[in-house]
Amino acid sequence: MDPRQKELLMRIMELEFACIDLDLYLATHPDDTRALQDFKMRSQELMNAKMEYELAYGPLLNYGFGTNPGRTWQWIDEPWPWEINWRRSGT
Amino acid sequence: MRRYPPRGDKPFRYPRAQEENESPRERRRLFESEEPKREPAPSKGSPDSGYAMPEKNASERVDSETAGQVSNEPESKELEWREPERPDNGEKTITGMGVESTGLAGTIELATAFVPWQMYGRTLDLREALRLGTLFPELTRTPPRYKKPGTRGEE
Repeated sequence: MDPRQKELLMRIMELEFACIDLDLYLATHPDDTRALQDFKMRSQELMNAKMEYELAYGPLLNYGFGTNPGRTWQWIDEPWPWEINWRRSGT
Repeated sequence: MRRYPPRGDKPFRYPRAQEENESPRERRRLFESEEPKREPAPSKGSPDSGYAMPEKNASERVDSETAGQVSNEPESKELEWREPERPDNGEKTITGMGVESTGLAGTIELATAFVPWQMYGRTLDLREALRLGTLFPELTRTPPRYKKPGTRGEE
């Protein structure tokens, strides 16, 4: 697996987790403007990272939810999640 | 249906303090000012003491002991009432609803659960947050190490 691809996947996972945690915080603190600002910033970063990944390596989601409709079936060529060794630099 | 925390520009306060519009310190001050004066315990034998058991005469007790007779009257010590001992640490004792508390516990009500309200502060690095399972450093917990039953924990 391309190290750059793996790095992008890791970045997407980190940003998604941060967005989920901020979302949970905002559920009980809806008036916290700082948290809301951070949430908007992180979600924008996440959207950009996903777009960058899909443009370079194909769609992240099935059923056409990705932003790369022309290469919808490319995901079958990617390694499955359990085939990725996150501790090594290679696949 | 009431909603906590309330929306608005005002900073969040705990519901009870908000309802009564007073801080715990203010509540304590009001409580102390309204506390009735504690009457001293009535002396034994006085008409308003409420204890009808007569005190045995000292000379009679000596006579009965010297004569070897056992008195059938119950000991009056069992009926003595004493003021409960309180720690003398300079803090005022608060009495209410049949419970007492001193010191720090005197500023809050007993047997009432309080959940600290989370405030938005520093957030963790995103990679560290993914590893620890939370974005907030105040919510990180170190899970206890799993100990296999029947071992000392080395395995």
